[in-house]
Amino acid sequence: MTNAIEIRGLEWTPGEAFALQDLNVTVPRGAIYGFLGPNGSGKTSTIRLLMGMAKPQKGSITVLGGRVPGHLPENLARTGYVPERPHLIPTLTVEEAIRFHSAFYSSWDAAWAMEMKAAFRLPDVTRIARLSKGETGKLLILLALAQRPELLVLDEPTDGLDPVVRRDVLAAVLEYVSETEATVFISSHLVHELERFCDWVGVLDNGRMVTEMTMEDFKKEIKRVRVVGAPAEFQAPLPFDLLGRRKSDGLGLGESWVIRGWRDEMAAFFSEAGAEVRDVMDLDLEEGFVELLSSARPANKNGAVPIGVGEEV
Amino acid sequence: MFKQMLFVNWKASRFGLLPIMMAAFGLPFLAVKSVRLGRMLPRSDLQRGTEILFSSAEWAQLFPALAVAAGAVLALLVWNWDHRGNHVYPLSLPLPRWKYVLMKMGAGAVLLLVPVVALWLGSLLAVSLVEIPDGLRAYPTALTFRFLLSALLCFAIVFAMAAGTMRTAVLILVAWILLIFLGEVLPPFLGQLWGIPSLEGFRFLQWFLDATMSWPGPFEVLAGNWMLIDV
Repeated sequence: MTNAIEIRGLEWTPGEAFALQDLNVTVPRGAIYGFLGPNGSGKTSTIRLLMGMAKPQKGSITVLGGRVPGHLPENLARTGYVPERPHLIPTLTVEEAIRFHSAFYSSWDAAWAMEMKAAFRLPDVTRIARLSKGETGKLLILLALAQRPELLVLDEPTDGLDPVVRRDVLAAVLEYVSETEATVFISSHLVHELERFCDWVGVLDNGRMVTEMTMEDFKKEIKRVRVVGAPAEFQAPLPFDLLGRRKSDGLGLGESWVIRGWRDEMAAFFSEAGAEVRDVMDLDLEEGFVELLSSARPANKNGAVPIGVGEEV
Repeated sequence: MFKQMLFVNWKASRFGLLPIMMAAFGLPFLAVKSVRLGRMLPRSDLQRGTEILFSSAEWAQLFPALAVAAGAVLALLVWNWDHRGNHVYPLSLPLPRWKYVLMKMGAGAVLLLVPVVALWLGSLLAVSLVEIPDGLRAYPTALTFRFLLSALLCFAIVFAMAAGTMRTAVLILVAWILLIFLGEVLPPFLGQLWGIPSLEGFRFLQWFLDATMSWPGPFEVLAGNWMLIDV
């Protein structure tokens, strides 16, 4: 078994407004998988299904080799989970919450939990309801890590935290991963944050997986190409996926094309059409993410990838 | 694990339990209060016995009411934070759901012992303050046992209802109201239609209460004898 998470053909419709449709996700063991998507795209719903908190109408979910919900307790014993919204019992103090949580995990590392508590400067006797957002975020990470999980499922773990706390939280996760080679499945819409440490990325939009690939491929495959003299319509079919096309900003230097699946030899395609490729630029994850979503949305509606001079994405 | 569950549920319910515990401790004193007030006056044994029985009967209705309240309040309180957190935390814990529910129910049942013990101590203390005439007896332990059974029964019913969603609870309630309505209206109507006098006089609610509140009905324990001092 090489994959920590396998979701196949998942369909789930909780209401009329939203549905997960034919969702396929593959998270290799040991990967740090960034699960990206705008708000309301279905990230948290997918995670809830993954954790067995809801039942899909169709499809299968396998976590650490065990089917969900069949092997749920075994899976959960090996999974550290940080939900989108703090879910702990508000009347407990930090110390009581740690004690309560530890009772359910045979792999609980009490010494490390105490170390983290000290490092995070979490107060022992303060009730959870009175903790700051940052302190709550740290406590959630502490609880997820100290059970020494093989898989960490983090649902927007740094959302709303200040940069210092965010750094602390992510540093703790990375330290644990480097030490244990655990798998991390982290959802976020803070794309730039994930770019630094994820090695896999999946982009979800409107309940559908737009793309799933290694971070390396993501960066290698999606390029911004500056083209001069391109005709409005090409005779030959495009040898790549065109995610966006618009006039370049500034000094009339042609058009800016965002392309997926770019190879250097494709420059010949433009030459044959009387155009010239002036520049090929890498996109960072955030730019690529935005372009991907912009192209995926109309395609979902009309069944066609948008092409058009001057079209703004 | 159970110890932690017990602790967490104690923290969740302690402020709700406190007034019930105080009421459970105080109620037996109220049940013998008029006797104690009057005991300085010269009375015959018969007069005193009658007074004691009246006083005990006067307050007897409050014991089952308190048992119902204790069971219901505790059942609602132990589910409170689960509902507030949309059950996310319990569902993320690595144990089968039936086991979690069973542990929670067990913890609630143990916590019910708090008002039960308070009632027992209160009853023992209250009857020790009264001079009971010949022919009458105090039943502090029997009353406490009846209280325990009633509270557990109510706890179990409300616990099961509160375990579901609000939608489930509303559905059950609506189904009940519908059943009572149909049970009250339909048999007399059909009795008139078909000319069957026994059906015409049938009242569902009365029948249901009779069936459940008298032996061997499950709620008989609530309707039985709740006298602290009796013959």
